[in-house]
Amino acid sequence: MRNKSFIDFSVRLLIKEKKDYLFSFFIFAFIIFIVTAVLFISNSIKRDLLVALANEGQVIVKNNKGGHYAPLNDAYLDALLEINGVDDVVGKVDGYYNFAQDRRYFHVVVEEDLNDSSIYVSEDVGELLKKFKYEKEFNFLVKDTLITLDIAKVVASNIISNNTIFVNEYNARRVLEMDDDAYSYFVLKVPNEDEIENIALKIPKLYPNLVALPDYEVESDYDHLYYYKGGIFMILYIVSLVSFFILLKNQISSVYGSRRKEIAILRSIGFSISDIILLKFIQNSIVVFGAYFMAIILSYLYVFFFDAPLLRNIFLGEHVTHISFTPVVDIKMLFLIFIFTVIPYLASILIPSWKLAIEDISEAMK
Amino acid sequence: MKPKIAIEHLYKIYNEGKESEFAALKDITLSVGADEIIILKGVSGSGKSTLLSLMAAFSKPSRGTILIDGENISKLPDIFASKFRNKEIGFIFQSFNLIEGLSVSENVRIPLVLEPLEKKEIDQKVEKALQLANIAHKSQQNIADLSGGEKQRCAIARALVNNPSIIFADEPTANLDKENSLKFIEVLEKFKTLKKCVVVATHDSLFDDLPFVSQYINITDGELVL
Amino acid sequence: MSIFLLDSIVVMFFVETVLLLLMGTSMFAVAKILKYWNFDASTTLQYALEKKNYLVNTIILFTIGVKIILFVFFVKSLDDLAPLVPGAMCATGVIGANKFGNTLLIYKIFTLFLLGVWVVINRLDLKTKKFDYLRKKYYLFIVIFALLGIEFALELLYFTNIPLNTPVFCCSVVFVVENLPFGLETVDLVKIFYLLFVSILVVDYFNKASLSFVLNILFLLLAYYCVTYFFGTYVYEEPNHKCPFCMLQKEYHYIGYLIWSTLFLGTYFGISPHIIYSLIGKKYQRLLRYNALFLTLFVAICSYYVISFYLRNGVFL
Repeated sequence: MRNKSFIDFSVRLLIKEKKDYLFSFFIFAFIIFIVTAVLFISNSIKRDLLVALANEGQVIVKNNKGGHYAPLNDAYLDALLEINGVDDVVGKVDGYYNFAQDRRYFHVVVEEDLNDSSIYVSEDVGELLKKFKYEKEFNFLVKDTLITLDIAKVVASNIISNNTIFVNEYNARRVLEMDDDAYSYFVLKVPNEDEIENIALKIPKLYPNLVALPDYEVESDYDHLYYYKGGIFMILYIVSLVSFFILLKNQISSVYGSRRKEIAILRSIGFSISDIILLKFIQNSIVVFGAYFMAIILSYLYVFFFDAPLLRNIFLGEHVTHISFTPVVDIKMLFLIFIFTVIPYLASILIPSWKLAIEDISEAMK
Repeated sequence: MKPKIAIEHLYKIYNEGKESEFAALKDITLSVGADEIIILKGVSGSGKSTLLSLMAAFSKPSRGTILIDGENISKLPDIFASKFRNKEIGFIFQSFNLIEGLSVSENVRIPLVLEPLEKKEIDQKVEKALQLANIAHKSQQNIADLSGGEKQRCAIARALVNNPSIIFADEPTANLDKENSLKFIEVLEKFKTLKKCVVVATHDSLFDDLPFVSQYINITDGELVL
Repeated sequence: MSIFLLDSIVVMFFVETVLLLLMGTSMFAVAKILKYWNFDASTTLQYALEKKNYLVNTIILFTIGVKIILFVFFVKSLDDLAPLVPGAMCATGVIGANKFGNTLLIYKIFTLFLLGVWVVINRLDLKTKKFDYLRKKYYLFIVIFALLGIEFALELLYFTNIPLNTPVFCCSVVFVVENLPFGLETVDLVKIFYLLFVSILVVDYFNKASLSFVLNILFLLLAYYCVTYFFGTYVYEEPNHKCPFCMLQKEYHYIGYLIWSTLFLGTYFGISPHIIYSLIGKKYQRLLRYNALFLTLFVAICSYYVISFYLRNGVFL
């Protein structure tokens, strides 16, 4: 095994020959950057969804009428409370308001802290309303009347709060034209985890029109969706990775070709074949780790500070204008990216390094 | 006394068995004592460089043995051969073969990075070699900024830094002017006092009839001329 | 929905394929070396083969490094799969999801052991001036390559057969029945565990490779049961939580990685000197020192959990 002065020397040579590596460094950093940004975005979205889910109860109950979701009423609420193991049932009001001027729907969400005369809007909605001159207040056009409410605050939008208007329950019922005893869905609190599944199975048996979704099922739906998307992306990405590595191998070979003499000099001084391979391995490790860390830091900035322009549209569509991603960095993901990119990179330089090392010393020095 | 280097029936044949077969060295047998200085004379292409490169284990002979301190270096696995080059041999090349872009002292320290030495020890050894080769005043200069003679002194310092027992020089004066060539001959004499085993391959007439040289050996077309 | 779309699985198979390709190319060199190797010849071919030797060595060493990283990654991916496989709370459920899982896991550990043996033989070979163990080293590599091919196939079989709809059993079910070897009670098992540990230390001190081989295999087996059924309960601080995998999770500060890796490394150093001796006839007892070192570390970590629990609560579980 070689010691520190060997590593120092490898670094010194690398600094001298940095131009040789610039090309692979930047291309590779770019490749890692893209894959990291995509994973950052999808992980962040998934996390927001899961956090929102965790704030709800353990089972969500909806009313299914002829393939559509229909409001539920108080009678169900009492009946559901009767089920053993259910601690509490909360009726939720939520729905979509048709903003006809821009032909789009706003998500209307209940925020209990609001008073009867004011609303919060998410950042993107706020921007849009400004265009229609609603700066201080907003008029909901409901059958026969006009409900005017003050815009009290514009809140930052993440994936959940995007495209949303927050109102209190009283106003929500007015805007969505729901009766006082009607609810969009129920949330059941089930303290004992083991009973969630049973309860979810029991409800449709009692009331065939009700749909009961346990939280883990929703969670696993999200997971499936993102695993699926992530997987397709990864497979496509392998194609570009493979082409990069072929490019890299050629590039490295040609660059190494111009370094034949230098390597022969080192060999003549006493570097063995293994030493040369080690030297090149150390140098490439430095390059690849540099690219790896640089790409991760840049994509962190890109996604969480600049909210991923361009890429976010792929995930969320063009309508999503103002959205901030909640920063989520997990070690597992960085480990995955490491294995995905750094290891194949180092694998692809082994053979060119060896070829460089075994050149005939006297021939190469001429 | 046992010879330092003993070569027996050495052949180097390129493209053996093919039509283009070419014997660079034929049946060379010679021996060099531990503190002898030997001059290999011959025109370019006569095979003297090939002989040196075989002795330094740069390449492998087609037949025959090269014993150095009793060990057949041409059959050594690469790891051992490299270690041998590193520890026992200092090689001075015609074109100096220094690494451009590095400074003089950085070039001189390269042989030492393979050894488990502290930085301080390395610095001391480098300093000593630079003094010995009379290039210490230029130690921080880049190789590209040196004159031919300075480059050679740097190469000599690199060859000496590991305190090898053997020094090979291949056409050491071919890229030097007369003044620097004469200086090299002084260095050669210094090697004699350091009790090194030295083999110089050259066709330069300046090396003729030097009193401290033990043997002059002529090579023509890959064969020794006695 | 296919499990092959999970990004960690995609990545794992991608890297495994890269490794197999690398090794596959070096197999050509290996075949050539084995066929034409003649150390005494001074031919160009022989010299070319000697150079090829270094390429193959590099590739295999690289493979081994990556294999170790991938093994950790594999275990981590099993944890990731848990939320996708109904009923699985940790890797137990995922690995037990079909009949290939446990075989694959043991098989992976086994190949890593063999690769480790190869590394040592290679080191010894490089220290000789005539490549004394070259042939044996490459015959062993051919065996390992075949085994790695089988591992790849096993891995494919395992992942294609993970059910995503039918529930699997979790550790609370799998390990609830104390399925101890030789019909022993837990207490006796732990006593034998410590006894065996002390005897291994003694054997190591006297450099007895073959005895160490036998004792270490026994110890590995016993340690598995002890960690799962005894020490694990102290890590989780729950008398009924018996699982070899949950300790790999964050809640337990990833201590499982340290516990299992010290055990595997320790037994590797205990077992390999005997294997190396029987393969190449060279004694390399130096490794036994590391055997003692890692096993002591392993036993210390395990015992720490028991003792600290006792000190804090004044009772054993």
